[in-house]
Amino acid sequence: MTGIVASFEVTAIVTKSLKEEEVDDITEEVIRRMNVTEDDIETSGT
Amino acid sequence: MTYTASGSMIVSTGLSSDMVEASIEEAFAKELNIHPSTIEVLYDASSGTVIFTITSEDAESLVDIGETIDADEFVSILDIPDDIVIESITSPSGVIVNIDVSVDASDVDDVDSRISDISNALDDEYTVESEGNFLSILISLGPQPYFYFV
Repeated sequence: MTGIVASFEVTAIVTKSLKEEEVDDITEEVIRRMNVTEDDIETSGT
Repeated sequence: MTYTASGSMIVSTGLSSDMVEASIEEAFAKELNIHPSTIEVLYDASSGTVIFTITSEDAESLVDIGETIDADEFVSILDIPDDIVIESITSPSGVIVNIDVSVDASDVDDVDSRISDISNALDDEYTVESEGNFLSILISLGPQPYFYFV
């Protein structure tokens, strides 16, 4: 099966490691804006 | 998710680029007590500029490393060959978190606009940069999608 994969990089300057909730917020924004499900998203290192 | 901190140095040396990079990488790893694989050193012989980037799985250790590099004595205690003279050093100005996101966007209309929307929504805290949209072959081997780029 073929498909389109959108790949992008999210960066920020931080002084502390991101909390799981902060990464979840990013994922939720992707779900909302792209109208996809969590299963459609792969996030590095989480 | 990776965290990186980058700084730079100006050095004078007659050694080859490979030697400079290897020597500085080894010296940093030893002094900062980190694995050499977490340090990338790039030397531009024409300008004498060394860019070093340290990668970690957490931000806090990089903040500590930045403070160590910022200390006055750091350069003097680095165990580097005598033929590398460090003229100046600029310690990392901050820690950058990097999250790579891949989305199965097969059913998404106008993907670039959607990424732009995400960028605008996250703009207060994050920078979003598209790395392109790729035609892929999707093979389901379990609960997570596996992307094979073609």
